[in-house]
Amino acid sequence: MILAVIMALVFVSRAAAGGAGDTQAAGDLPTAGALQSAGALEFGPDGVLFVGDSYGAKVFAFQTNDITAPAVPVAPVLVERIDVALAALLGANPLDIVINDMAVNPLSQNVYLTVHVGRSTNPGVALARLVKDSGELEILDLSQFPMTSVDIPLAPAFEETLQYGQSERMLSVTDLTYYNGELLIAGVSNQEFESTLRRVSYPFTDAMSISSIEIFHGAHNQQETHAPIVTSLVYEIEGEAHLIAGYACAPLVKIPLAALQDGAHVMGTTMAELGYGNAPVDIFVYQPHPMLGGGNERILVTNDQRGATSVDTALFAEAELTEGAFFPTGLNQSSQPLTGALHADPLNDAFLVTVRRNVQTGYLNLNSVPMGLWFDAAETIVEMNWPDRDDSPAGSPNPIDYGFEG
Amino acid sequence: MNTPIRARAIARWGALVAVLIAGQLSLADDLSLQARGTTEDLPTQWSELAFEVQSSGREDKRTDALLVSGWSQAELAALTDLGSWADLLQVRIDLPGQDSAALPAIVGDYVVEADAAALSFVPRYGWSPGNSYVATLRLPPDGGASEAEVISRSFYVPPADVPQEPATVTGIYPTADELPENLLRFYIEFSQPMARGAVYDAVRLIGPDGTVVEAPFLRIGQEFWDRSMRRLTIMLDPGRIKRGVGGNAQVGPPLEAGARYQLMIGAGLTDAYRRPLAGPVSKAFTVVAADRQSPEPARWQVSTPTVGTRNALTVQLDGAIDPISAQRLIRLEDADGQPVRAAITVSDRELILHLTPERAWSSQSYRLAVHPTLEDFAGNRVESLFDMAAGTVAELAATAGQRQAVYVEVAPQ
Repeated sequence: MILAVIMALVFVSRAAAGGAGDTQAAGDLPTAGALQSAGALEFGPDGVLFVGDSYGAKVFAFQTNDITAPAVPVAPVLVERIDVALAALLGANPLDIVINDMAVNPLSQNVYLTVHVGRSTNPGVALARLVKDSGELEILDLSQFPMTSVDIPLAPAFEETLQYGQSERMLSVTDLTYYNGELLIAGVSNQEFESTLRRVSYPFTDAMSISSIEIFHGAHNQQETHAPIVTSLVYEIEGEAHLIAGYACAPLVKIPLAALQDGAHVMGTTMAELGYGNAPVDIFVYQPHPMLGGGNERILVTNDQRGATSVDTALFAEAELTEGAFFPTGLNQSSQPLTGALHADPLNDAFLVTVRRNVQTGYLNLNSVPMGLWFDAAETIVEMNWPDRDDSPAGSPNPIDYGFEG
Repeated sequence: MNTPIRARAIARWGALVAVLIAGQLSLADDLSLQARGTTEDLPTQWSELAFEVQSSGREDKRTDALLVSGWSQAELAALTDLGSWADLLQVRIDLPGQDSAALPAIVGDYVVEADAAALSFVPRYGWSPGNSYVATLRLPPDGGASEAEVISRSFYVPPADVPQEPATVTGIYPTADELPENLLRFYIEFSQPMARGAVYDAVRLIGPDGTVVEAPFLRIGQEFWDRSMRRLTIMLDPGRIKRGVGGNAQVGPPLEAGARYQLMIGAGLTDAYRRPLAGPVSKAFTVVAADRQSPEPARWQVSTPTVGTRNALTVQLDGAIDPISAQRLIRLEDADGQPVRAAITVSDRELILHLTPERAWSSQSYRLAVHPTLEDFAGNRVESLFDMAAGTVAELAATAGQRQAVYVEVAPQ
């Protein structure tokens, strides 16, 4: 069979537009559903995925119906050079790929990523999913999921900018936390006290309560109302639900949910200062394994400029920082060997999944690190990576030999 | 590090924790695509197919469709029944430094355009202008024993502001039909910016017998483009021109007096958007005796511009000069020696120089300041010949630091 195939780049008017079938006819470039942007991610009950849209000043709730448990509950996931893989799927240059957030569906352990194509205020908007059992990375067609949304009132204007040009609009929704039938939406408003926490029940209703929050910043020894919550979770301290919130530059704060009434101006209690020149990135609760010391439930905060911070939740009830502190202070903080994580979320009890830029290769990888150990030997050059040799009686060292007895 | 090794490494360390938590650890097997449908109804021979990118008619070219056309209705029907178009036609972006075949295909929408007997693909996030793509079509084996047919085609999606027409050659210098045996350079001008890399394959000198002249040009590992990438300089090999030098002595000059040659510019030369020239272009010329005379400004005949006008000053030269050299090395000055802004062009086989001032001529006296390194096409300068007499180079070098402009008086009336 001989095929004479002619490749020609010809721009002629399109004769027959559209087509049959269930595929979408060529037309407008689709956004992911009605999203103008895709930022913060949070899973709610039964596979519901909340997506923050700062540009559109909305929060969407998609019913993913992704509720089947994985085949191997404790297996890790890995996508090397995930920026290149996403660029290939989206037909773009890896430099134009921005991964805004990542969330693991706790039911399926599939990993969801909000992705922008292009860095303008009019990006291509995509939701990607790493299917755990197949290892396949896919771009979701959000029009296939039942969707509801809620408007974010009083969002900042696109024209309002920070000192280095970032639009305040991109801070409309900085973090989403689902707890007990409610979604807590952190962000910036156009009001005098900008740092705002909105509270809406899910399924969405029209009633949204809005509180402004003032906190004490140890690193500059002053009260502060501008900086939004970067990452937060709800934790019960002595039976009472509290928002545990990480702020830029870099207080860790507790706020009783009961105080977050509509119109209230709330004073948060600063429990610890995570250290100057730093902002938290993600926060989650974990139970240290007995082999790694065991003990109380702890919270890990990944940082953008410092090693991750681990704190003991049993200290939360009494903790209050009232004096200026430049360096990490309060909650008996312990620095953990986990840096450079753009995003982190527990995959299961055994692994944390991160999107990290490898400091040695510069590659952006989605990989798994053992929970509590936070260590991936392949990411670094350590003695245990050398092959076993006949002249080394003990063989290559391994962590057991470093005294991690149970 | 490849992924399987990485996965094992993570599993090795993860196992320390995971084994204790769950009592077991195993990695999911790779899942492979399940074949769907049946191949029984496939044709025994496929039609000839054409690939083209067809405009959506919108200003935003990112929604253009890749069209694979030429199918019969029966083929399209058989393939539609077989399964997913995404398994048959895959389009990948060609990322620098990446093995595109190892990357996932672009997410997009496949539409069978029944009227046109074509399959169209529109990437869901649009084409990314300035990138190359590879489309791979896997036609399943027919009812007989033949292998699956795999057709791959590369194409380029140009930036949005690309001119519609491919580039053309707008000028070849020198423009004269008779050129000296010791010609040093040609200039080739193009209608729009060009791409580097193909010059010495695309530009050829054809000799009097119709065959390609061997190695006539200076090749030193780079091409000589101006900053706008619209003017190419082709240097004839000076080692073959200078008398007594190795190249000249061994293989002779690239051009020989009395013979007729052609400079050919092939369509293989591409514009900045990697599109070939509109068509090949050639310049035929007859070679005459070598030019061994420097330009002599003292012999130039200068017109008398009219005071109060911006009429061009015309200068009859004593021989053709290099127009690029003229624009760089001839300057109009006022009575105080201050530069006067003027546009400089050459015409009439580069024998006439035109200077058009930005402001009207006044009644003061002007002058042309001619730099001594002004050249003709054979590289002869006002101050010296390209191919200097033995023993004169040192003398010139000694005075190079004290070069003086040569002046030509201009007196508007």
